[in-house]
Amino acid sequence: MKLLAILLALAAPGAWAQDDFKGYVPPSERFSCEAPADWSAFEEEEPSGSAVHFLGPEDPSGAYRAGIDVHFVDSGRPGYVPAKTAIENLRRSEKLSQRQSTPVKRFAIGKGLARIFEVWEKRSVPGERSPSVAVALHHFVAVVESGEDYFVVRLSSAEEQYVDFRKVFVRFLKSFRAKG
Amino acid sequence: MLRSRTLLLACLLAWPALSRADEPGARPYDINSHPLSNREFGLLFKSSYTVKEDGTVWAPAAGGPVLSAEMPYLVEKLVRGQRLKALLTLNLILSRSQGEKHLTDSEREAIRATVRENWYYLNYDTRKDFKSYFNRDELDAMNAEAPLPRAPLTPMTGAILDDHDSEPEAEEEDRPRAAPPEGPTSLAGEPLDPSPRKETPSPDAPEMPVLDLTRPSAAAPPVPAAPPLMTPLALVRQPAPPPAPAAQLAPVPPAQAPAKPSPAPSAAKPAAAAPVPAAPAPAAPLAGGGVGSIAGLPAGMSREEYERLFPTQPPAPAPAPAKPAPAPAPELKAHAKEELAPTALVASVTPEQFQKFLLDAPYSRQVRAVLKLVSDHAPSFARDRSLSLVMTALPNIVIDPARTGRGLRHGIEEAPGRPVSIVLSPGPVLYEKKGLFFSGAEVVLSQSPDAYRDLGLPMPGLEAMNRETSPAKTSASDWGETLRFDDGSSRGSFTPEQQAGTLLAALLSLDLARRGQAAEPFTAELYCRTAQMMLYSRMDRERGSDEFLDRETRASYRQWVQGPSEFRDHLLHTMSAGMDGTVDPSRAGPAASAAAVKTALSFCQGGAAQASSKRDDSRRLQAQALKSAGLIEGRALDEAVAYIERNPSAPGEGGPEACRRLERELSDLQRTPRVAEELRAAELRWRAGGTP
Repeated sequence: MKLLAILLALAAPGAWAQDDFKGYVPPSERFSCEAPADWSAFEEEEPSGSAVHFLGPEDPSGAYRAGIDVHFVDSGRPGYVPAKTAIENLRRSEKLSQRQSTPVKRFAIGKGLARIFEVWEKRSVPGERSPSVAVALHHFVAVVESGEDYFVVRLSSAEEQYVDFRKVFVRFLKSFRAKG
Repeated sequence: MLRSRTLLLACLLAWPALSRADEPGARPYDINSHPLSNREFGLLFKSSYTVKEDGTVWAPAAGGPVLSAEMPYLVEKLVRGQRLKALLTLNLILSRSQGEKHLTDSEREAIRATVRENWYYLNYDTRKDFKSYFNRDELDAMNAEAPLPRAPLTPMTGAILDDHDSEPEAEEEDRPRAAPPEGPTSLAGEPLDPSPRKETPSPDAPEMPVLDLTRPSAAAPPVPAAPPLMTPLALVRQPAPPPAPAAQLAPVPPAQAPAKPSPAPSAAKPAAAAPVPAAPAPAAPLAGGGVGSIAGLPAGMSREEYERLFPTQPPAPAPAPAKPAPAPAPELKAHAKEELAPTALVASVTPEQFQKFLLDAPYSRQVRAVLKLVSDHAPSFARDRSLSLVMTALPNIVIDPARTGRGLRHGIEEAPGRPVSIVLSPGPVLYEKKGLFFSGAEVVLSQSPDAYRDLGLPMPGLEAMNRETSPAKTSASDWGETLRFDDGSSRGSFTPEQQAGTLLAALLSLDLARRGQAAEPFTAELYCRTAQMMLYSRMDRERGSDEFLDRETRASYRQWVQGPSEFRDHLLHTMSAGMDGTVDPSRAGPAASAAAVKTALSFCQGGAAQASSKRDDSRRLQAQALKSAGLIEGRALDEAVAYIERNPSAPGEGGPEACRRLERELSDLQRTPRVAEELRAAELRWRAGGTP
């Protein structure tokens, strides 16, 4: 009996949801996840599929707002890029923006595996308005495959805050479930 | 016998004098029949010459009036004296200063005032030495008022050249030309070529056209052709009024031409006023030779001597043929002052139509070049929108760093009752605070005072902010041709190709706003920026390089090409941050926006107050960013914060007006999906086919 209760608790997706996180399913119902409760979310259609954006707090300078972006890449859309190529593009180095990335690692999500890595870059933000300050940015990136389709999950923040968001990213990924 | 011989000899000796007494040159100069220009009048008065009622000119403490033959020399002497005085004044200011690179504000202003006042008298080299004290607009205005004359191109061949045989002069000015004022007519009643700019005549100055005696070898200034009226293409254009035909010179009467000294090679006499009137009365020859042919030679002067003193000018240009009115585009509707209905179809604009429009468009040459780049490279879905906006609404498009507001690359000025202005920036100011061990973050700044006035702050005291400061060195960098200054600041420059993308985005932004399709700021900005990136993509393919973009734009462009989802995310994360403040994260997305507007509708004033506080937050963050960059001290930051609290952003209209605005916004939000769909379709075509 005790063993059954433990197994049921572990199987429930929201078993470890705490007050600061809440479950979320977008209108397209392509996935479900848990995101910080005070982050605002909306979904939009994209040329490659669809995207859900979770907007979190901004950095102390007010120049960049942290957030999680989940992009669904539909293999049936024109201009489809396979997951492997997408990862190479995302891990590209760029001297202009001092962009660099870490090696790819595997991360268990539900019954599958995600490929995760981190990206650093430096950009002037805001790009079109004065004063525009060079800010170091950090991105946690995960690519979750679902057949030929795949999801790109990215948590972006100012580099000075990214350590604080590591736990948020891990929890978000662990709660991520692709549907359909 | 001896007495008669003596008498005869005396008569022979006196005969030249007597004969000269009857010559026109020996008569007193009559200002009523041969008026001087206002400048020449001014010089005479400054030198205490007096003009009597009978038109004669008297030197101070002179026993007689100035003769006709002497007047050209007198004016020449006064002009040279004024030039010398100006140069001495400038030399005095510079010698008393700490050096040209360390001028105080008052010294700089004194130099500017002296140069501006005497621009007419300065030659080409001197103008070149001091032109760095003025900006482009000022230089254009000064050169328009006192253009340098052209050097004569061909020697006199002896053939009588007719006006109609000459080729029209190439158009030099790239500024829009104003219609020439209705000029005076000559005594013979023929219209005269008006000068490009006329000084305000003094009350005593005659209204007759002027005889410019200070141009011994100057060509007549090019006569601007009156441009056709600027009207929307759907309306019939009025044909351009034909320019006045060139004045005909009367043949030079014998024994009147003075022996005019040839001008110094370095002294380029500035051209002044209109050519000589074609009067039946004998006229003194134009110092500059004037237009048309000159028949006959002054008495007592050989042809070689005359050619040396009066080199032939190239004949005045034949009147430029009036440009035919362009065929009105049947697709375009004249919506110059009307609100465009949101569902109005976007008119298609062919390259030929736009090229024809550009010929007469009231834009500078630089702006026309940028518009041509837009026409040649914009993606089709954006091209028609942007160009039809230009052709129907005729927005003012200028390049002026002082008017872009917070915009680093462009600004938009809108005022009720006036056409909208799109102001492009020629380049940003860059600053990186140098520390002992570490450098601060680089900050990119606007050169517009409005960006700082809104924060209650003066413009940063950087040398790069002052366009009159001479740079320490110039070098190429990621921000284009960059001027570097001693205080560590620098000023970059945007290429015309980059400005074309910026202009395209600005035009689309205006068009979306006019059509009520900009209610959702993220979608609208994404639309404009995607079109901009597609334009850059075409240029990149043509040139094989994206080096024409500045650092940040290039980073954005490469991100758009290789990681389009990253491009969107980066845009959203920066637009929703407090410093930018364009996107409210609580109402990001069309659904959330609509819900927020509906809520605000029930509390009309409350919705506006919330928007105002977010704008004030943005202002505070901007001031903080300037402090972090080391551009202001802590005390200045405190004063800026206090200023923002005392002067909050306009909360918006209250009461019924606020409700109407929110209702409009709600209906505009319903058009957002259409814009997003149009963008998706265009980007899909690009991603699939590889070309926008």
